[in-house]
Amino acid sequence: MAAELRLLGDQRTGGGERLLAIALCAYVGLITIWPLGQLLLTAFRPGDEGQLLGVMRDTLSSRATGRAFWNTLTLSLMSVAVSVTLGGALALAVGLLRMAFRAALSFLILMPLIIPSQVTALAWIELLGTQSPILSPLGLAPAPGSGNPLYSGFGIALVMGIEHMPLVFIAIRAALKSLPADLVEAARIAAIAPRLVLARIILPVTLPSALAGALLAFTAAVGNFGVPALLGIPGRVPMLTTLIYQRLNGFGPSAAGQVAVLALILTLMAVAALALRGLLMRHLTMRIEDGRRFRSGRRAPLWAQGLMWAAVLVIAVLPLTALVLTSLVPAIGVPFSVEVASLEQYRAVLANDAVARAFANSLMLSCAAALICALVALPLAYLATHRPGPAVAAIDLLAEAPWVVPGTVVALAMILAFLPPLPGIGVSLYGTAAIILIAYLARFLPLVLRPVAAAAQGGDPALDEAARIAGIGLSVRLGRIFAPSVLPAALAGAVLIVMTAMNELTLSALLWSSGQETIGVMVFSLQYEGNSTAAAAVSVLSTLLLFALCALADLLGRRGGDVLPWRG
Amino acid sequence: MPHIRASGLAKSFDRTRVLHDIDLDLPEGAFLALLGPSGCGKTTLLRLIAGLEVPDAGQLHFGDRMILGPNRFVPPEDRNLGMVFQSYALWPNMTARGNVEFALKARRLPAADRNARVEEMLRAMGLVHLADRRPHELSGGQRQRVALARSLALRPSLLLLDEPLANLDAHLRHRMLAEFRRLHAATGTTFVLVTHDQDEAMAVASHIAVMDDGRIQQVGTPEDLYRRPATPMVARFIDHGITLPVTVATVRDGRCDLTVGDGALSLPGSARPGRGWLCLHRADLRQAEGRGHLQAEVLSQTFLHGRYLTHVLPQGLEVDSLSVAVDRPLPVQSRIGIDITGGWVIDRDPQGPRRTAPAAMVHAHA
Repeated sequence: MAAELRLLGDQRTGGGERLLAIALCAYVGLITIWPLGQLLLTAFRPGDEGQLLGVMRDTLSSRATGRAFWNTLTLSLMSVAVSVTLGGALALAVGLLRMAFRAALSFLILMPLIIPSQVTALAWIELLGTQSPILSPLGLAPAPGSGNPLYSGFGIALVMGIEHMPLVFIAIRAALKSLPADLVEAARIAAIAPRLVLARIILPVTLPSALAGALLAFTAAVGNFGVPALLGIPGRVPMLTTLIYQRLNGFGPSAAGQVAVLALILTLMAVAALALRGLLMRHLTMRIEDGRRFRSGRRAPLWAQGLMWAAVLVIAVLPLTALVLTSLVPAIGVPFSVEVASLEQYRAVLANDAVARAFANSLMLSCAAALICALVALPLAYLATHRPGPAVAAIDLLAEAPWVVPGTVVALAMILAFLPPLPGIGVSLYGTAAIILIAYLARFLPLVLRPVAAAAQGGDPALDEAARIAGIGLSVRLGRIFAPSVLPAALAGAVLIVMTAMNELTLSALLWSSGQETIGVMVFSLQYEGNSTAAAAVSVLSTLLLFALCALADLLGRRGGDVLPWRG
Repeated sequence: MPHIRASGLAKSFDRTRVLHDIDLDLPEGAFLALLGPSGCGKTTLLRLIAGLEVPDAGQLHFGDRMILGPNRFVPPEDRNLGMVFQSYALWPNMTARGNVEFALKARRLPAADRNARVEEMLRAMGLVHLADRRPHELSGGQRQRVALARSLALRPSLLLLDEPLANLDAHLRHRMLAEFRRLHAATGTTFVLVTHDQDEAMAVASHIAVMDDGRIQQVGTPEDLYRRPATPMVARFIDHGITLPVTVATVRDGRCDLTVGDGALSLPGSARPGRGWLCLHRADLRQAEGRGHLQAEVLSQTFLHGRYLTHVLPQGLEVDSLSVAVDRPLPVQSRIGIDITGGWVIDRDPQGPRRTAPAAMVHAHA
């Protein structure tokens, strides 16, 4: 009794709160801890003849593993180089120079982060392919039959680098925004040349953030599935994420042990980068005094503005344009021209049952995930803020795990946990939409939990105490006092979940089954079947839907604070 | 209305002791002020009484009902109390009326009773015309009234006030103090008010508990604290009191014969023969006609309230300086005599001040 008391809080923790804490522990335990635990157990399983760690030794010594590991490491590092070069230059230019249309420019720079990987990859394929609707008229497209130059390690690194560039951009931009004006003004009064101010004062202060952003980009690259799937599989460049996918697709559950080991390697790479980032942030971050923020009065020279718009055009506008133009081609193989442009592809995909089903599934699944995650995040954040205890603190932390590890790992963990028939019912969740939903619930919970918990932490604890003293019960307190105080954050977080879940591919690629397609899976399989024009049409439709959600989120974000990456 | 009894309450946060062995005995209908410098543990004690903190040891009774004790913890919602927070903690998504009404609704009071009570509270607090405003549309004083109306609407037997005047300006503070006295008289509810401002405490409380360093130094009426301090801390804290080291020769019928410096005098007190503290206020010092009880050197003078406030350094005493009001200007470094016309004598243990007040027990409602 006493031990249970301590675990769930202290004497102040009421009976209802205890029950709630137990229910939340059960929930997080079932959807997060158990699947990830299964994955660990599987990876450490003995071999067929019972050798200690046999599965792990076999997998680690295989050549395919070595190649995938090496590709993942080198291509991720190369992509980080692209992200840092692009993101760093753009962040410095936007942060240090005054120019017109800065907000529009910032939004376009962040676009690669908002567009799902598979759509980005597809857009680049269309842009640089032999049939490119933009390069062909200019005579710049690769010669027919020469293959797409992006189906290569170089292509993967380039596209991932561009996709994750906003992570570096955001980090450096934030550091520049917090740069105190005094530092720069003191240097200018001491007659130090602007070039030196940049090199010796501004850059050193932003360096830790740049490194942190780079490590975040590395983590994202290691876990990326969409780009390696669309570029690496046809290009025969295996990465860890795609190797897991291909092994599971090819050999089914019998490959579980091997892929669990691959997933473990993937997790270790991602977690190592994040741990290094935490270390850097702790030791390198300079204590900077608060003060008036630095705002440059220097106007961007025309050449610099031109260069930036050109970069943004290439990064964000051209690929999407190529995608749209491809989707307007009446049939595969027909070169694009204004005369042939038609909405035939859209008519075809909208008439296609599978596509309609995919849109319905993705909408349903992402909305359900957002709703349930918000409903779970509210009481969890409440307990973590108002009734902290070791048990609640532990699930608050563990709930973060599925977002930290690569999505492929989460999907695999779900298969390992829910492929065997559920005890009691005898039904397996694999092959139903439920397994995808559970994966979404586990992976996306932090997207709403973090902002809600932050809002709860910032609130006045006396609001709840006053209600308690007034004798108001837990459910009314939660519904009428706590929920309204964190509602904007919860709404913004929920919209972020809908946006992320609706277009994700990583989880559903491993978990989907016929009848349970998602939009991401649809794009991937249409492209895989060679129907790239239909894939382009579906991508354009899903991107339009995404932009509509962005607008909605922006509207809510005005009240919800800076939960959204392009605000602030 | 309970008679509140606390015994041996102790509380630590992260190994820092914030409350030691708190004993308190408060009669029904009292108005207690918990007074002390910041960090003395007064808010923690209030939150223990409210049930918002759990003590490490000790017991708490409201009348015959054990609220806190071994294996017993009555949650705040079942203690039948009201509380006004320093931040007021008004629920921002509800109007003033909604704030007052909410707990009554949650208790499923019949609508007619509920409305009558809400109207009564709004009227009593002069809030009728503000009833439909949200907290952010109200001034500090108005929020304070809403918070009071909200806690009193439940007709609590005990009302806890946590530094309720800290966020108000001086003028509003005086009006609210008068309001507290009126409400206390009108409701008969026991009030416990936390404050660091002794004028505030003196103005409203029937009893004051002076706290320092997690301990109750003394509980008494305002006059007790002023005239008969139990510890040197209380003597120095209340109205900028002065303590002079003295030697007590004999004690008879509550009067102590003592020497201070080389002067001798007889004053009331609780001291035993030996080393003692003479506790004084500025009003107990007067310039002597002749040699006086103390000899002192004039350091400086300020003209204040029609007299010359004179800062002097007493000779042969280990004290910094004293201030005495005199009628004429005096040259710096001149010598004057000072008479002591009153005071209270307490023990000065070689081990330091005594741990707790001799009687933290209050007998009657003053």
